[in-house]
Amino acid sequence: MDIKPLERTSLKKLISEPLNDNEKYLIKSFSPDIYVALQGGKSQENVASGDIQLPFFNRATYIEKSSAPGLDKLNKSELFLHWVRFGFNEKIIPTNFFDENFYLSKYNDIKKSKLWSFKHYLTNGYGEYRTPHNALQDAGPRNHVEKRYRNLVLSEEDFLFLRSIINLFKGTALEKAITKRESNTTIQLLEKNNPLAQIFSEEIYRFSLSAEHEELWCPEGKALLHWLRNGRKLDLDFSAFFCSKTYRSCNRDIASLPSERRLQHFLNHGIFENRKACRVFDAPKYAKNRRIPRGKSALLQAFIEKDIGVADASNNVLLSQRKSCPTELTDTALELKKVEAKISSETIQSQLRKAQEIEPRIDFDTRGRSIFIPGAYSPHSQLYNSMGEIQHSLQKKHYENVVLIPHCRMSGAGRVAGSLTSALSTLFHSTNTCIIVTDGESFDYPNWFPEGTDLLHFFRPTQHLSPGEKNLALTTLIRALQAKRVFNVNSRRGWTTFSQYGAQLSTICDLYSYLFCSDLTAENLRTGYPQEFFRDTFQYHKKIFLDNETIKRELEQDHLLSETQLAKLEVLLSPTTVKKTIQVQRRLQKLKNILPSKPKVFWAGRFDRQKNFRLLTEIARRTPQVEYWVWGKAVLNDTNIESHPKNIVFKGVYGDFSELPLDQCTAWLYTSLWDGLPTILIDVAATGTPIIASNVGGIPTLLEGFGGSLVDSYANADAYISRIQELLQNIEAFRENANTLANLVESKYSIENYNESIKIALDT
Amino acid sequence: MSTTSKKAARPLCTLIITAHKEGLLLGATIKSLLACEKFAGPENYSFHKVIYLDNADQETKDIAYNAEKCFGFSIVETEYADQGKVRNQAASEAQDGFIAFLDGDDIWSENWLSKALATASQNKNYIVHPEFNWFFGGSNNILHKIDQDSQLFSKNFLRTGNYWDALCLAHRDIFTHVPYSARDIATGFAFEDWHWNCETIQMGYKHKIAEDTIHFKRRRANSQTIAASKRKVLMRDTNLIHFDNAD
Repeated sequence: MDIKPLERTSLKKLISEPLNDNEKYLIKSFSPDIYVALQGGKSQENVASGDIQLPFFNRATYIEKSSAPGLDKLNKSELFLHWVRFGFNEKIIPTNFFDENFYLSKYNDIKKSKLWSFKHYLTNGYGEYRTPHNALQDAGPRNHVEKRYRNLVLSEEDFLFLRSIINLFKGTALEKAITKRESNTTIQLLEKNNPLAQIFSEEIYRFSLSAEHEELWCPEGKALLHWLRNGRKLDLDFSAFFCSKTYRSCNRDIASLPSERRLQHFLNHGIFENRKACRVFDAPKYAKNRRIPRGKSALLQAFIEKDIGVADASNNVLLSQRKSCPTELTDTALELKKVEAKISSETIQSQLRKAQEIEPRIDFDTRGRSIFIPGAYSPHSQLYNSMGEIQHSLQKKHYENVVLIPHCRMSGAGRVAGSLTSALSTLFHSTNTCIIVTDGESFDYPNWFPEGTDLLHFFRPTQHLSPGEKNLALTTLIRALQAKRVFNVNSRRGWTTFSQYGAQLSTICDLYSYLFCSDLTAENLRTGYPQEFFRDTFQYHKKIFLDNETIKRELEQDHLLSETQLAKLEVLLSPTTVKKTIQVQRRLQKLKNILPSKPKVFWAGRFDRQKNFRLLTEIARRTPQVEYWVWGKAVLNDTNIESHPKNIVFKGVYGDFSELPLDQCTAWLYTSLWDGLPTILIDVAATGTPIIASNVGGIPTLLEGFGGSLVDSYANADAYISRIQELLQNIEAFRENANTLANLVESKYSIENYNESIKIALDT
Repeated sequence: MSTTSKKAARPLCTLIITAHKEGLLLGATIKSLLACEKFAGPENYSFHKVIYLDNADQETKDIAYNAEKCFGFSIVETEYADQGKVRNQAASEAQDGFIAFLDGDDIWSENWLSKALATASQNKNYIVHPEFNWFFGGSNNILHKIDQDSQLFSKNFLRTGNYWDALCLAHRDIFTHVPYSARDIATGFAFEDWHWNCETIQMGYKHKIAEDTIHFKRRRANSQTIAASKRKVLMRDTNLIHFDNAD
């Protein structure tokens, strides 16, 4: 037959030509809907302009099988009319879901009749409920499929598949139903909440089905069953969380399995082995970060917790705290599918081919290709998601001051951060300051901070980001808040961010950081923020705050700072809130010259190497006449606290300094190996309690001149023991000194002085 | 450019290639521009073709001047070493009408001008981008762009990432009203295209997608965007990234 070249104009003529009886009959058999529409007076042209569902007619299959040119320019209905007029006569079967060989072998009467099998099926076989395809259970016209699904009975083949993935339903009623081959119960339970239904996405399945096998009809609300009976065999996408190609490429041990076996492997094993199976959810990483036990599915756990992280094209997929993410991930997967379909479309492919004529290197190597959708699936998705969470958790959109703290645990830096925040609240009103907790989640001492100051937890929403992304997130946050001043009080994230983006940040806000002291390694090498970050970030800072002169001298000598540079370093005496109250005075009067029968020496701090808890145990062992009351806990776990003498009495962790029974305290012992000026010593000094402390860091700033308090050989137990004995023998002189120190602290380390110093330092 | 009254009635569009050290790669770029021009139909639009050579090397200049001779390109030489500044000058020197920018090593899909002009003609405030950025050379990824009217669009995303690059088509007035900001690599500010997108949105312009169109973008090892990403530079400050202006 001579096939005319079909252009759209000639097509219009074609479809407006009256249909003959044979053609009408064919249409009636093939698509009663179209036939009814035509009978109802709708013009052929109108019918042809619609996008209709046609059983046994696949646009791509027909174009592939027909030799007529220009067919790709026609829409589906137009193509169908073309087939009715031309393709039918050419005996083109426009679908892969009519199996001619199967039909003839199954139905001997047709074979004998010499009829064209497809024509027979359309005109007679379909009405006789004959089977058009061996492998596909639901190939057939819409009304047949609908009828079948109204009273669906699962086939042996369906049960075979379900049994092959039985691990997915382990311990559930569904497992029993499948094992017993109870069709009705199985169908009912499959449609309810179960792992397969959870990961199944009707949207994704329908999209794949219509994109690849548009002639298959899937009844409303029966998508999962349809996939189970048909789609799985056709390797159609059905979930955001399984992609056959990704599963194969990420799991080489199962790469050689045929696609249906791969699917079975995933549902029966891979999902519980937390293998990577899709682009939008990284099960291995999720399992690792959530410490999900071996054999338990990270994906199913994420569904239980409704806590699946946002998709990230940079392969850093992890988790976020945002709820109801599974549906969002399904949206992302669907969006990606649509884009992939668009890329494969003839329109785009023809543009690609033309471009390749100009530049052959385009699309030359497609291995490892990623498709990005900014905002939905791109290397920025994680950061975007984190910023979204942060934005939602903010109480205000704008803060003048931002105070960065690592966390708030028992530490002097936390106390200083509280004092600084209070000073800022006094200067700028508390609503203008936001505390950002960057390196952890604990905020154990909210009472250190002024009421009404907003708190933002940065650590949790950003914990899945890479270190560089965290710095970028903090920078973005500072910019988005339009902060005028940023204060870093011991936040490592703050330091790394200033190090990386200080140049840019310093053009839009003033940067301030606190430095307290250098740390010491086990080899006695100085380390810590002064060594790590001072040099790199000095130029970006408006001021660097110090809490003692010792660290200032250290920095000056280390870097040979000029006068101008030194002016950037501001020593601020940390304030104490402890007042030498009348009660304390009375207590001191009462205790004067009286030494208790069992003197009590207090010690408080972290049970870490820096605080030298080990030395305390030695001192205690060698001074059994003294009882040591100890507050604190191990933080870094670098010290063994198991073996200790009986005269050490652990008192736990105190909430507020005022909780300490100082009326029973003979002296306060401080054994730190390195330090700034510990705020607790300022507090103790304020109460008029005698102190014996190591002569390190900024401690002499407080205790210099108060004879007997400082221990020069601070690593040596002998030095402390002899000082304790001296104190016990001469308690009156020590108490007198302590009282003088308390008066000095009250005037020098006052909140008012501190606030005034901050005001001057900020030049406000 | 033609001055006959008949041709003057056709919408005017200046096609601007910015080049510096593309060398022979510029040839394919010019060819793609010519194919695009032909597809859009000189009978429908009046095109003016210009190549801006910014600190260009001799190889690049040779190709450009040959295009001047053979295909009627105008050539302008500059010494900014800054794409944003080149684009600003190009916009200020362009005649009234639309402007389409093309990097000296990239390729337009044949339908780009035709579709982008059709979209831009709907509203003078539209800035039109291709539907896809299709990378080749050092990368083979594909970026699907988002229309500002799409449900996927959120101003908040622009705080952390860029939706579109500078290779767009829009009316000249937009480029002169909102010029590109200068780079400041020493301080760590770049991404002038990202910044420009934010600023134009703030000014009320709308970023649209011309469906089915592609920019094939060559990724070279010394790409300025890649270099900027590695240097940890940031986009300049813009009101759009403040929480005050959040969606």
